[in-house]
Amino acid sequence: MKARTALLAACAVFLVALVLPAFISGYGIRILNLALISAIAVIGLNFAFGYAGLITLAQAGFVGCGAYITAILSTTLGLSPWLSIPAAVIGTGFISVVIGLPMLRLKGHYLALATLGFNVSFVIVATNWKSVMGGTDGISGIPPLALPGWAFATDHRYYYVIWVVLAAATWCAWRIRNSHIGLAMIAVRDDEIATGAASVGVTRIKLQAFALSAVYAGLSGALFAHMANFVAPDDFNLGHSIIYLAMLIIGGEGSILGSIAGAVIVTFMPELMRDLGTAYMIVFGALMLLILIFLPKGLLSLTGIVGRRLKASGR
Amino acid sequence: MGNKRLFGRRKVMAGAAAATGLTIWSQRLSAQSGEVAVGAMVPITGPFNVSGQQYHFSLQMVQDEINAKGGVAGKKLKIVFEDVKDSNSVAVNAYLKVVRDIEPPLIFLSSYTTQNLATEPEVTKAQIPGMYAGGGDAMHLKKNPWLFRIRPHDGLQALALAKHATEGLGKKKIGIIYVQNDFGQPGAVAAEKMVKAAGAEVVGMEAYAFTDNDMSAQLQKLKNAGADCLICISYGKDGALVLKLMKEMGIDLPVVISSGVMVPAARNLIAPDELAHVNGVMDAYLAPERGPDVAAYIKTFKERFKVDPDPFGSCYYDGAWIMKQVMDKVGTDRAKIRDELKLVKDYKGVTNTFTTDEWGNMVHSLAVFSIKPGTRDPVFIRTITA
Amino acid sequence: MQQFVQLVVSGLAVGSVYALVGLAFIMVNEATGVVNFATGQMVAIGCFLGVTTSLQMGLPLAPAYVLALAAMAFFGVVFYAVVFRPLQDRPVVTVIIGTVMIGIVIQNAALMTWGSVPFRPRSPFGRQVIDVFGAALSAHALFVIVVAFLMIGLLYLFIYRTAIGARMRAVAQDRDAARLMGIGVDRMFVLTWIIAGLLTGAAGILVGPMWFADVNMGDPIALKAFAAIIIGGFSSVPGAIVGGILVGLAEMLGAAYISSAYKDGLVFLVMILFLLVRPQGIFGERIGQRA
Repeated sequence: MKARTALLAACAVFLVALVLPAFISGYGIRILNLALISAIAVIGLNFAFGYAGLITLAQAGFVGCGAYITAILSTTLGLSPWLSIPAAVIGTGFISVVIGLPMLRLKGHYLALATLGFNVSFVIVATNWKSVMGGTDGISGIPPLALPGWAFATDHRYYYVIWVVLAAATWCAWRIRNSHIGLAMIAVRDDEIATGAASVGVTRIKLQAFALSAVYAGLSGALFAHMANFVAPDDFNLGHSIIYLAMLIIGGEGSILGSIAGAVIVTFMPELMRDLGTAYMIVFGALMLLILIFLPKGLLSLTGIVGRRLKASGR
Repeated sequence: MGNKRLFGRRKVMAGAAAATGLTIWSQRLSAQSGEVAVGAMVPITGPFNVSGQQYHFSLQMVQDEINAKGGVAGKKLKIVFEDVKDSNSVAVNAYLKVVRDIEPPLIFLSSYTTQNLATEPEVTKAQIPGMYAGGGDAMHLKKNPWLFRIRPHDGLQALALAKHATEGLGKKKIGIIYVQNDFGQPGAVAAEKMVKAAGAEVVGMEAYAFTDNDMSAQLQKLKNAGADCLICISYGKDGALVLKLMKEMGIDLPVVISSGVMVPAARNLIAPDELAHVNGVMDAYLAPERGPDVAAYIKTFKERFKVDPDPFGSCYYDGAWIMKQVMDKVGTDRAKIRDELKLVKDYKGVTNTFTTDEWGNMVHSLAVFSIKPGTRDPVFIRTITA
Repeated sequence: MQQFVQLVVSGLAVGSVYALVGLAFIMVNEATGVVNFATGQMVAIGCFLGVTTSLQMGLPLAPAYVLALAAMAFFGVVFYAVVFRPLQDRPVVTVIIGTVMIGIVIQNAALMTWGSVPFRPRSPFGRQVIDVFGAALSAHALFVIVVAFLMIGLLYLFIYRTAIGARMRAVAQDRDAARLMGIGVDRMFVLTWIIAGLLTGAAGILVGPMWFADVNMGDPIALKAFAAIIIGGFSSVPGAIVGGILVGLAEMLGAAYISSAYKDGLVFLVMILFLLVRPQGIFGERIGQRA
C-alpha cells in the first residue's frame, strides 16, 4: 500500500537521521549542518523560483537579514534566541514584503537585476553601518540556542535542532505545494497572462511566493547565526545568492526534495574536493556546468523521480 | 497527476546511500605516530592567495629547517595545510577538518581577521592553542587564552603612522585616507585620536571601498581641505593606486602609508617617482643589514621560492620556531603548550622580538622607513614600540 | 571648480569602461537572451592577455594589443561552444547559472596561470598627464575615453549599417523567423560572442594600466556595467554609453559630495530606482513580455 510505504520510508529516514551524528566527526557534522541549513533557504527559494518562476538573486540577502536580526537582538539586546529567531523570521518576511511590493512588478531579468541590487546593497549597508551591524568585523559572540541548563552549543547537538526545523519546514512546504496557494504560484509561472485573466491577483500571488522564500531564508539565516556564533557581511553576498539558485537547479527545481538534495551536494562538493588543491574550484565549476548541461531536471532525476514537473513554455 | 507523496522508495535508498557514504567519508584519518602533525589554515586558492602564498612558503621552509634540527619534541614535524579561500565558513570548515584529521597540538590560523573571528569560537571548543596573524583589534579583545598573535595588531600600526606623521615628520594638518573595512576603519579612527593627542589637526577622513579603482575624489577632497601630509591605511594594490593617482593629480604631499604597499607583491605596481614622498610603516624590516639570521632567511627563501619574503608571511616562520622551542620544553600537551606560550619573552625572530602580553599579542613594535630616492628600496628610520 | 572638473573627467574615463562592458553584455543578451554573468571574468582575461603579450612576451604595444584582441575573439568562440551551445534551449536561469559556473572556472584558471600577484601593464602613453581645464587627466584615461567611443561608434555602424548587422538584428528580434528567412542563426550567434569577446577584451586591455591587472578585477566592473545598462536602457547602444557615463559620474560626484564610503550603494540605489520607476532605462523601449 502506498501510504504504508511512505510511512516506512519516513521512519527509515527518521532513524538514520537520529543515529547519524554518532558516526560522524565534528567536521562532517558541521558540513552536514551547513547543508541542511542551506536546504531550508533553498526550499524557500523553490517557492519563488521553482513554483512562481521569479528569478530572484536576493535569497542570500534575506538569509543575511535573518542572521543579523537574530544576532543583533541576542547580543546587543540580550534577547533569548528562542525569541530572537522568530523575530528574525518575521522581520525578514516583513522586509521582503516592503521591497517586494515595488519590485515584483518587474519580470524576468529585470527582476533578477533588481533583486541583485538589493543583495549588493545589503552587503554595502552591513559593511558600512558599523554601529549596528558591526561592519566587516561582523557580530561575534552570538549565544547558542539553549534550554535551561543545557545549551545546543556543539554542532552534534545543534544538528537535532536543525533536523527538526528542516522536517517541519519540508512538511509545511509540501502542504503549501498541494494547497491552492501553491497551485496558484505554479499557475503564475506557467502562464501569467492566463492566470491574470482568470482574475486571480497575480501580484499578490507573487508576493506570497516571494515572502515565503524570504521567511524560509530568514529562518535559515537565524539558525546559521546561532551555530556559527558569528556573522559577517561576506557570508551573505551575491555569490551566495547565486549558489542557492545553483543548488535549486542542480537538485531539481520545482521539487522540495530536489532543493534538499541540491543543497547537500553543492555544500559537500567543494569540501570533498579539497585534495585537488588549487584546481578544485575549476573542477567544481566545470562539474556544475556539466550537470547543468546533461541533467536539466537536476540530479534528483537520476533516481528516476518525477518531481512536480513544471514545464515553462517560451522561456 | 503529479507526485503528492514526499517519499518514494528510490528516494529513500538514495538517501540511505548518501548517509552511508557520508559516514564512511567522515571517519577519522589516523595521524601517523612518530610524527607531530600541526595544522595550518592558508588561503591557497582565491584572492587572498596573494598573501597566503607567502606563509604557505615560509611554513614549508620552516618545516624542513625544524626537521633538520631534530624536529619538535623529538619527533618529525609535519605541517598539514588546509585551504581557507576567502570565505569565513570555509575557514571554519578547514579548521574543523584539520582538528578531525590530525588532532594537532597546535594550529596556525590565517592572516585574515574575519576568518580569525569566525574560527575563534571553534578554537575554544577544540581547546587547541593557535597562532594567528589577522590584525584586527577585535580578535585580541576577546582575550581567548588559546590564541596568540604573531604580528603587531592594527591599532599599533595606526599609532605608528600617526606618531611618525606628527612627531617624526612634524606635520600639523593631517588628512587620512583609508580602505573601508575592519582593517582600515578602526585604524583610521585610532590614527585620528593619536594625531589629535599629538596636538595636530585632522583636516579630513576619506574612505574608499576595497574594490575601488579611482580614489581621485577622496584625494581631491583631502588636498582641498588643506592637508600638509596624508596618512594612508591600505593594502597593496589599493595603496599603489592611491600613490599613482597622487602623482597623476600632482598632489605632492608627503604620505605615511601602511605596510601593505611595501610587500614585494605590491611594490612592483609602483614606479620609483610615485614613492618620492612616501614614508611607511612595516610589520618588520626584513633586510640583510638587520643581522646574519635575517640575511640567511631572506637568501634561503628567495632561492627556494624565487620571490622575496614579506613580513606578513614571515611571521609564521618565527611562530613555528617559537612553537618548536615550546614543544621541545613541554611536549605536545595542548594545555601545557598554551601555558608555555604565555610565558614567551624577548624571543628574537627574523621579523620581530616576541613577548606575550595579557591579550595574547606577541609583537609590540613596528619599523618606520622612508624610500631611497629614485628606487623602490626602503630605508630604515627607526622602530616604534607600543 | 577645479575639483568639479577633475571629478567629471575621472567619471568620464571610468564611465567609458562601464559603457564598453555594458555593451558586451547587451550584445549577447539581445541576440541570445542570455545574461552573461561571466562578463567580468572575460574583462579580466582580456586584461591578462594584454599583460602576457606586452609584458611577458615583450612585444611592442600595438601588435601586443592586436594579438590579445585576436585571442579574445577566439575566446568568445570557445565560450559560445562550451557554454552557450549546450545550454541553448534551456530556460534562461539555467544559462545564467551556467555562465556563473564558467566564470568560476575562468577566474580560477586565471589564478593558476598568472598567479595572485597583480601586474601593472604599460600604457602607450606612458604615465603622461594632461591638463584639462585645470584638472589633471592621465593621457591614458583620455585614450580610454577616445577608444571606447570609437569602438562603440564602429559597433553601431556595424550593427545598423551593414548587411551582417541587419542579419544580427533579425536574429535578435525573432530567432525562428530569421531562420525561416535563411539566415544562419548559429553563425550570427558565433559572431555575437566574438564581438562580446572583443568588447570585453578591449575593456580589459584599456583598464589595465589604469587599474592594474588582478584576477579579481572583473566582478566589480561587471556589476557597475549592469547598473549602467539598466539606467541607460537594456537594449540600447546609446543607452549603454549614457548609462556608463552616468554611473561613472555618479560614482565620482557621489564620493566627493555625498559619501565616499556609500558611493557604491548610491549607484545601486539609482539602479533600483530606475528599475522600479522606469525599467526600460533612459533610452530603452517599453519592455514587452520578456520573461
